[in-house]
Amino acid sequence: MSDSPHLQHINIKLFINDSAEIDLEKTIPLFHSWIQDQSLDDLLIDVADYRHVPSGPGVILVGHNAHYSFDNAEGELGILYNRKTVSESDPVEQLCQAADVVRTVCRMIAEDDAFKGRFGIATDRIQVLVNDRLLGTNDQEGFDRLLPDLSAALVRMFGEQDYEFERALDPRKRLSVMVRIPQGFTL
Amino acid sequence: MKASNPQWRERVVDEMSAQLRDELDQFETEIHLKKQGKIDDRVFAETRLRRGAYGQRYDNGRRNDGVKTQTLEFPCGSLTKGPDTAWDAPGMLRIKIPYGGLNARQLEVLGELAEEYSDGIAHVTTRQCIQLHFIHIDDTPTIMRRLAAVGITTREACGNSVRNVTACPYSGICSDETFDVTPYAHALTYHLLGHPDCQNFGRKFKPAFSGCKDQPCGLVKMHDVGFIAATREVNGEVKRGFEMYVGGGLGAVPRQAKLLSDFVSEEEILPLTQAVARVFGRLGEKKNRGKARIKFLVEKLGIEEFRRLVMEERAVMAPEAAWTSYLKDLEARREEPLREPGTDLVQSDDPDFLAWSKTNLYPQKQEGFVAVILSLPLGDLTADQLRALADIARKYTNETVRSTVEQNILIRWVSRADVVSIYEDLKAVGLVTPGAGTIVDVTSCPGTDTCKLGISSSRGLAAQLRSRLTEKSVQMDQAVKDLVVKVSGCFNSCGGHHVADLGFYGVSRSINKHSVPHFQVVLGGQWSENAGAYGLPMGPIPSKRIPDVVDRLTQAYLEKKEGDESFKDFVGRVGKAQIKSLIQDLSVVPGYDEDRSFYSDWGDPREFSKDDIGIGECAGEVVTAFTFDLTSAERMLFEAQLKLENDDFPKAGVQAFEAMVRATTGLLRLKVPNVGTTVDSVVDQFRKEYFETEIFFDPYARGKFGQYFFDAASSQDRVHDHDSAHRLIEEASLFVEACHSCAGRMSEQAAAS
Repeated sequence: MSDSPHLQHINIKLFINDSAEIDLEKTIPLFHSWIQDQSLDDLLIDVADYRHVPSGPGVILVGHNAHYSFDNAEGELGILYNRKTVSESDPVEQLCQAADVVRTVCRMIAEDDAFKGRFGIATDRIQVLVNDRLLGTNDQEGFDRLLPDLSAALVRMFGEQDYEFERALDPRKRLSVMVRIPQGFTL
Repeated sequence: MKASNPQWRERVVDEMSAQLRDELDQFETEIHLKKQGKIDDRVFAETRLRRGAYGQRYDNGRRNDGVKTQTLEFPCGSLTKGPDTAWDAPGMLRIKIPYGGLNARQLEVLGELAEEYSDGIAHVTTRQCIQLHFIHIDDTPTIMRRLAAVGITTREACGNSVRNVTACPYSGICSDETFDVTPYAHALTYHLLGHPDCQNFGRKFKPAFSGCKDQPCGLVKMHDVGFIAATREVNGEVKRGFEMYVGGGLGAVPRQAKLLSDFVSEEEILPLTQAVARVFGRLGEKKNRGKARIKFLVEKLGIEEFRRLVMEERAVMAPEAAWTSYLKDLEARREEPLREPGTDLVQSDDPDFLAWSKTNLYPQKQEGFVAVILSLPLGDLTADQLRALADIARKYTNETVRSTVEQNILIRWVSRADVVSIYEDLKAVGLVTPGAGTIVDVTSCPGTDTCKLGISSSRGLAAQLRSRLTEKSVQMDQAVKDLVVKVSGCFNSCGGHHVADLGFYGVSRSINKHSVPHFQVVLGGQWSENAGAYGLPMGPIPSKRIPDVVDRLTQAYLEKKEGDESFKDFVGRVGKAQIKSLIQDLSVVPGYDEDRSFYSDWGDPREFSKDDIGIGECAGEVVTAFTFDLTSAERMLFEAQLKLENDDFPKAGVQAFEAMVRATTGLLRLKVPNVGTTVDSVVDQFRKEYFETEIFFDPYARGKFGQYFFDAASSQDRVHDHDSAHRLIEEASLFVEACHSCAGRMSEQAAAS
C-alpha cells in the first residue's frame, strides 16, 4: 500500500436523536428505491436486513465503495457510512468526504415521506472509526496518529471549536473516537 | 478496487505453517495472473471456489430492482472472476469449521473479519461453517491469512472437493453416544484436505460423523459419506469403529445413504474413505452436473458393486502414516472442564431465565455440567457478540464452543453452578434467545438474500415464522413445540427442508402475467435417527400464506394425533389427500390489483421477479486435475520469472524445475491411476508412459522438450546462476507448452476413435 495514504476505510456514524420514532421496516423500501434511482454517488447494489440481530448492523444499503446503514451497534441507532474500497485521497480529504456523504444520506432520509418529522440527528457528536486494525491500531499511538488529520478535518468541516475526543478502550475493538462538538453542526 | 492493506501478510505470516503461507501466496499470484488475463475463467472460478471464495447474487452484473432489470456497472469493466461473474461484485467467503469446533481467539478473529471486510455479521451455516458475505475477491488472500494465523482454513470449502467434515456438536458430552467422534472427524478433515485422491471429483463430497444411531445430530444418512460410532468385541477386547454409510444427499433428488460396512475399525476409516474418494474420482460423472454426486454413482452401480470396487481399490493403496498416526492422540483431544462441577443447577426467579433454561440447557453425561445452546436467529452473530462469546468461553470453559447444523452455537462444559452467571453474561449481548431446538428455532439457507440460486426468500420466511411462533410459544403444546421447521430458498435443500417435520422450499408461479413467490410444503421428514426419512412435497402455497399453513397443520396435528404419535407418523396415517385438503384454499392468490402484497416476498418490497436467479456455483466448475496442474505449473513459471528478476537465481531455477514436475504430474494423471509422489517416480513414469512410447513427441521437435525435463531432473541439485536459471525457465516454458500439446493430441485421437 505504499502508494496509498496511511489512513483507509473510514467509518463515520451520526446518531439518531429519538430512535423510538424510527420504524426500521420503512428503511427497507427506502433503500430499495435508492437502488432503483441510483441516488448516491456510488454503485448501489443491495439491501441487507439484520433487524433480527440485537445491537447489530440494522439495515444496510450495500454499495460498491461503501455501505450505508441504519446501524444499531452498541444499542445506539445511527446512520453509518462504512468505506469499503481504498481511497487515493489524503486522510483529511477522506474524513471530510465520509462526513459529507453521511450528512447527505441523513438529509435524504429526513426528506423522505416515511421519515419526515420523525428523523433527527444529534448534532453534538460524531463517531469516527478506522476499519482496519493494522492501519488504525486501537491504542494511544493509533489515536495520536489519527488526531492531527481528524482535527484538521473537523476544523475544515465545522470550524474552530473545542472538540473533545473519547477513544473506545477495548483494544480488540477498532480504533473508534467519539468526537464531542460543543457548538454542534448542521446537516 | 485495490486489495485492502497487504501489510497484513507481514503481520501474520509467521503465525501459520509454511505450507499454508505458500498456498495463500500462490492464490494471491493466481489473482494477479487472472487480472492479467493469464488464467482461464473456469479455471479461476474453480480455483477460488476451492479456496472458499463463492459467488453471490447479482454478481453477473444484473439486478431486478422491482421495476426493471438494471445493469450494475461495476468499475472492473470486463474483468471477471469466473464465467459471467464480475470481478468487483461482492462475493461470499465460506470458512470451514471442522465439526463446528472454535476457540476463543478464532471467535475474535471472525469478528474482526466480519467488521473489516464483510457487513459486520458472521453467519453460521447448516453445515457448521461460518460465512462472510459482501466480500471483495481482492480482500480474500488477506482474510485467509488472518484466518490461517489462528488455525482456520477455507481450503476446499466450496467447489468439487471434500467439504467441511461435520459432526454431532454434543460429541464427548452426550449420554447416548457410543464414544466421542471429535478426534476422528478432526483426523479425516486434515487427512483429506488437499489429498491428491480428492482433487478430481465431478461434484462436492460431504462427510459427517455421529456418535450414536438414534439422535439426529450427525445427520449421517443425508451425507455423501457418513460414520456412526460403533464398538465390537474382537478377541475379548472392545474395539472402536464405525458403521460407514455412502451415497446420501439432499438436493433435487434426495437419497438416503447406503450402508457400506457395518463395522470399519478406527484404523481403517481414513484409508477406506480414501478408497471411496478414489472410486468416486475415477467413475463419478463429470459432464452432467445433475448426476455427478456420489449418490448417483452408488445408485448406478448398486451398493454391492460399489463396495466391491472400494475394497478392490483399498487393497492396492500404498500405506500412509496418517491413516493411524492420529490414534495415539485421541486422549489429547478430549475436552476438559475449566471449573468445578456444580452439584445443583443454580436457579433464578427471572421468568425469562426460566423460559430460557427449559430449552437452552443440555445436561451433559458428565455429572455437574451442562451445555448452553445459543439460539441464533437466522444463524447470525455480530462482531461484538463474537468477542463477548470469546470472553465467556474463556471465563467458563477451556475456551471452546461448537457451531451446530441448526445454525446455533453450543458452549459445552459449563458448571451447573455457573448457569445463572453465564445467562447474565449472555443476556448482556443479546444471546439468550429462548426456544433452542423447538419449533421457533427455524433454520434457513441464505436464499434470495445472497444466493444466486434462491427463488424465494427463505430468510424472510424464517424470520416471519420465528416471530409469529415465538408470540404463540408460551401457550403452545409441547408436541407442537418439538416440531422441526426448515426453509430452503430453492429445491437444493441447503436449508434441509427434506428432514424437517414442516419443510419449505422456494418456487415461483406465474399468475396473470406476474410472478408470485411460493413455497413447496414438504411434510413427513425425519430429523431423528440421523435424518432417517425424507419428506414429500404437498404442493406450492404463496409465500405470504405459509405462516397460515403452519398454523393449520400444527393445529390439526394437535387435535388429531393419537397418543405420542410423531408428526411424520400423523401425516402418514391421515394421508396426503386429507392433509392437502386442510391447506388447499391457501393456495389461491388474490388478483394483482386486489392485494399486491402477494406479489412481493417476505422482507423484500420489490415486486417479485425470477430475473435475479443466476447460475449457481454449488456444482463448481468441472476442471480436470490436468488443467489444475498445468495452471499451477504456469503460475510456478511466472513466480520463477519474478525470482529471476529479483536476482534470486537459485530459487528461480528450483521453481522452474518444480513447474516441469507439476506439468508432468498433470499429464501422467491422464494415463496413470496412481501418479508417483517423488520426483524420481514422476520422471520414471513419464519416461515409460510418454517418452518411450513417443506419445509425448512433437511432430517436428520429436522428443526434444521431453529431453529438457530429463536434463533438468538429472541436474536438479545444481545451484543456478542467472544464465542457467534463465535457460531453465525457457526450457520449462517449452516443456509445459509441450504438455499442453500432448494432451490436445490425445484428446483429438480419443475423439476420432
